[in-house]
Amino acid sequence: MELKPLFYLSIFLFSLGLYGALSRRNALGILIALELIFNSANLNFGIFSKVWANPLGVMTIIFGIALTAAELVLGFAIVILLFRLRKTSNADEVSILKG
Amino acid sequence: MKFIFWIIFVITGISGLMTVTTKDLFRSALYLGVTLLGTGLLYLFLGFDFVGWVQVLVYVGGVVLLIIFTIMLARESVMKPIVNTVRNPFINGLFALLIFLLLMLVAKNIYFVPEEELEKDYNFLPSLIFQSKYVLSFEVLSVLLLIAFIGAILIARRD
Repeated sequence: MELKPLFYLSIFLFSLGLYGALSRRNALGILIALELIFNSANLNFGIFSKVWANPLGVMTIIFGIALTAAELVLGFAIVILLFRLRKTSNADEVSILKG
Repeated sequence: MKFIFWIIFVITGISGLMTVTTKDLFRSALYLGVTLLGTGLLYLFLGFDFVGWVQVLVYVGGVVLLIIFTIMLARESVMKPIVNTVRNPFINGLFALLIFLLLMLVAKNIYFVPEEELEKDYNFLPSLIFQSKYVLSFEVLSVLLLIAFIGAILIARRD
């Protein structure tokens, strides 16, 4: 069990998620990349919970998993609705809220 | 045991890279499933059995299935895969690389307790959820999930 490489892995996954969320055109692709970011944050909480022998970090992981699930369910519902209304899931073409 | 740890470590990193670089969205979702499964197995190596299996059940079993269903529902025809194009890959990649290097610079200077000094018998027990002060917020969380699901049905249903 090596803690420091795991920390580097979580930083790596965070940067990948950042890149994906910035550069994907499809709304589903953006949500998938956001999932990577949440996952890396959860991994980080796990590592530091182990370092300090504190169960608060693990509680945060469990809460984070549930919150991510709730957020993604709503995000995908919006994508499905968007596809039904506009026949596209491309985030660039959706500028309904632009003034 | 150490060998298996490093194999899972490398697979998790590579499939994370493939998740954001693959063109086909369906494959991207499958690679995301591999990444989440690898993270769940790494939790097992940390000694958090409960969290590891929750991650496998909720993420790999639930969320990836949800993503795949959404991809199936939100495409024009069955034969045409969604091509997931990338916008400004160099500028965004450079930005992500800068953030990565900055965070690595910070991480390099963090002092980690050596492995011998860690508390050996520290393990998270699931029964702790119901014996600590977190139990009320845990119940509130279930209400939040219920509201989110009802909201999702209301948004996505055809009336």
